[in-house]
Amino acid sequence: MAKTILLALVNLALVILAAPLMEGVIRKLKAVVHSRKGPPLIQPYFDLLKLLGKENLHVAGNPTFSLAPVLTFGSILAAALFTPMGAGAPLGFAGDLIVLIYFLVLASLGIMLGGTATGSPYGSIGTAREMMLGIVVEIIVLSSLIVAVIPTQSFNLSLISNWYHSTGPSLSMIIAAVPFFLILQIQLGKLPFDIPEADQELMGGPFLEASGPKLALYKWGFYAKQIILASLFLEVFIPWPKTGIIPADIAINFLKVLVVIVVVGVIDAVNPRIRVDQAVRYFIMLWAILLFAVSFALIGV
Amino acid sequence: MQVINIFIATVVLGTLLTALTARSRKLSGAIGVLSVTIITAILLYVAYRVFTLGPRTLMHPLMSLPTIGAQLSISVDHLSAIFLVLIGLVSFFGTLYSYRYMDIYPHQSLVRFYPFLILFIAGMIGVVVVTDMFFFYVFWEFMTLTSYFLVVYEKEDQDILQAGLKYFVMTHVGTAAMLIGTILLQAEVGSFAFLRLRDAMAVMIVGSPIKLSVILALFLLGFGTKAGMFPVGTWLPDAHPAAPSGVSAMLSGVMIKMGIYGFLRLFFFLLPVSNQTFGFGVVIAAFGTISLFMGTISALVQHDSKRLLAFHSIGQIGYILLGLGTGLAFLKINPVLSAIATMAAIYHVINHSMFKSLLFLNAGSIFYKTGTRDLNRLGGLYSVMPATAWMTLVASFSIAGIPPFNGFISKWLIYQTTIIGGIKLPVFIFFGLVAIFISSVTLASFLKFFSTSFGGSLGKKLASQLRPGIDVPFSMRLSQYALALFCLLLGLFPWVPLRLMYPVFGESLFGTTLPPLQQIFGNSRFGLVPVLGGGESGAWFPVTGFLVLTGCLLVALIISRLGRAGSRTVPVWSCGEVYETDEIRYRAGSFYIPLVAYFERLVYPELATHKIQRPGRAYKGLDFDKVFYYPFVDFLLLFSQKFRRTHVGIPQAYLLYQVIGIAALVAIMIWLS
Repeated sequence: MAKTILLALVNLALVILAAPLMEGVIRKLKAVVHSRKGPPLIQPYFDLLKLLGKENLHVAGNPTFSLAPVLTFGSILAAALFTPMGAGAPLGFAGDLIVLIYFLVLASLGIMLGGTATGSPYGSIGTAREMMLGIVVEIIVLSSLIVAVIPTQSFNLSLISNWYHSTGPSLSMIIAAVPFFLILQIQLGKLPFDIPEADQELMGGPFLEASGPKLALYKWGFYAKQIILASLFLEVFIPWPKTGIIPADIAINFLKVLVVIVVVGVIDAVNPRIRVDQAVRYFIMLWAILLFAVSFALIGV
Repeated sequence: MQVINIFIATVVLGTLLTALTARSRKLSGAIGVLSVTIITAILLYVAYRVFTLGPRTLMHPLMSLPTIGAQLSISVDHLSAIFLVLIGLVSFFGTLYSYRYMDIYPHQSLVRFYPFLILFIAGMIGVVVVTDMFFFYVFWEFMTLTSYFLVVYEKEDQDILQAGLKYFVMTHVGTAAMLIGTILLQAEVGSFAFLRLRDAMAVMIVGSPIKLSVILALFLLGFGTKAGMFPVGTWLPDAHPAAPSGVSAMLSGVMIKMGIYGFLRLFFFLLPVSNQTFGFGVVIAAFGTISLFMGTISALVQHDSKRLLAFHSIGQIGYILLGLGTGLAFLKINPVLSAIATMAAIYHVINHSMFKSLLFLNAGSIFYKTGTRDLNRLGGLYSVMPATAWMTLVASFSIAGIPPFNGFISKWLIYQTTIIGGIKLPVFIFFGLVAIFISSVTLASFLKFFSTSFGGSLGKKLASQLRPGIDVPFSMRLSQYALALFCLLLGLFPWVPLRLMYPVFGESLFGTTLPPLQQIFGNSRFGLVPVLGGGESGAWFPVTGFLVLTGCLLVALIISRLGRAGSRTVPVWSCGEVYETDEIRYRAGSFYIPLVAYFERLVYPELATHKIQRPGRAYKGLDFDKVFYYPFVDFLLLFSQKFRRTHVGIPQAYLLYQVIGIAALVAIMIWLS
């Protein structure tokens, strides 16, 4: 019980307090790629603090608009408790990976409800795009995780992670890791897939009308989601090395997350945005790759 | 049993009194609601007795037809009891809702509404309590006919009559198939009783398996048509929007579930475990997958609110059939997995009755308030009907399977069983992945439904045509609140329905071989830990999850308040230009066009966008309306017209017919003897 609570607090601290640091790293990196100097690493913290105090502009006569950011950030926090971050998921006994994925869906649902509540056409277009990408992404995420479910006969994330850690790399898992990694880009709203926000054409899409604390929660949610998804990817597909000492494992996982975030950031920095129909075609191709991975998993390689 | 007498008296008196008082809309409505309340109370009482004391049977049959071996005897086991509870609850809320909803038809007589409504409910109850295929058929027809009159309630509208005709013809083709199957079985043993039919099937499995397969396929067609299985269930999207909303809720909430009841009764109680169960399990699961894909993808492009919901009924029935099919296919291989899949299917039946009725009531409330079902013309309704907006949100979350609402649990169990079962039979993994994919399509469709009707601000044109008053009348809202509460409770406390439905398996094919429920779903009181393969295959503790989520939302709320930011209301920002709301609204028809373009070759015609006009390749081949039903009706009409010519109106001619008829009869009798 005490271990569960401690782990839960560690996960919450990671996604609430450490997440903006990751964003700082990405910004610095992007600046380096663009041959700029870039903001200091802790700039995202200042941004969030500033936003929390700024005037909260209320657009719609519709409370879903102001509740949506709370829903988004809250469900991301809940999802963090079902994610293993180095030492097993704190609430892994109470929810498996389908539960985790659906809490993340709930988070993007919050963004979408907030985007349409105002009646702004930019928000609605952004929402429709977000949903379309969500449809194709969610199935790819679950399909690639199912490749790990087949040999373990379980949806329990800790079990899956331990199994892969002990048996070592297998062909099907390596194939499945590729689509999952490519999906991170879209899940985190990074180029070339920041189609729903599309600052230059939709001016932030669903976030257009959000200001002050609302925008702070949305942004913070995105930073937190980076850690959750990167940890999920690492725990399932690259669970090595593990020492067995919980604090050390958590630290190792944090460093690994940093590496993943850096790669994601580089891809973000060097790519242009693609159109939504191109994105859908791209993901249908990824799904075809996953069918191979599933078949390999079924014959046990 | 006294209860049956009270029940019959209520039905008869209710029908007569509502018909006699139909001129007074209030009185007739009150009597209608009262009758249905009594019927619901009786149903809940009977179900309570069954759940506590075990199956109840009426001592003496009510009617007996020994010449054909049919007997009307009433017996309620656990399966029937579950369906009785559903019929009771949905009918009660549907009728309560209709009490005020019928105001929107001031020129239509209520004599064509309440009496048929009560008879319709009685017909559904009859279907689930009889123990005899003949009377099953009788009540089935009774239910279909009474619901036909409810569907064509607005009898002046050509489209509605067309929809009614389609419903009538399609379900009757299905029913005819079912009847042929029944008669073929009856011919084997000379009795219609379920128990004897089981013996007949046991003999046929060894003796004539092909004939048995044909019979089962006929039943599949019959039940599938009623349930709304994809190629044969396409009467739904026309018939459900045509009916008044309270009735749509009952049609979609419980009537199409009668097809599922038929499947359960036939395949899990009557057909002995054999190769047939495996084969038909895979076939039913495949049909389920096709239904859920086609139904939901078609729903994505709809912009008529009730038509959209009706397509989702096809989709959700697909989930139920997928669960049932998985249950049947794994009956021999892995009984525990099979039991969990079947429980998931029954659970989804319960859930679908709740959230789909609620959604139809919500769509009805929007229609009541605005007078339109076209999502393209709606928008900004939150300001005038907040309660309905919240209830729609709850129902949308439930149908899309978002935790902690009820749809999540049944879908979660279906994913678990199909994917873990798929390790043995890989095709089920494919079915499961399609089901997961379609779940997010469902979410997309309801996001569109919710945001185009409630999001944004109210346009001037829409505001001018609103019915006065806050939201909708209280009796209508009450039904919506109650159903939404059930959606949440069924999601938080899964043990209650699971415990109630578990005895079903003891009475069915599974027999007593299954381990106790605690071994299947783990020993925790707070949640489910299904054991499908070797160890635990997943976990979901709804109450824990709900509390954690609530806690996290509170944390988020506190964080957002930390800066003590001031607040101000501003208009929507549209790049500095000033527009009317209606000029810049992003309408339902515009949602998801790039995605839908990928499925354009598959989806149902009558599409929302200009880009997608031609009916799809896959659809053309499966268009039963064009290929089969309409030609069939045309042929019948032509035949009747030809036949009319024989009625020349001259007595001598009729006399001649009589003579010819008698001669033919005599010839037949001589030949027979």
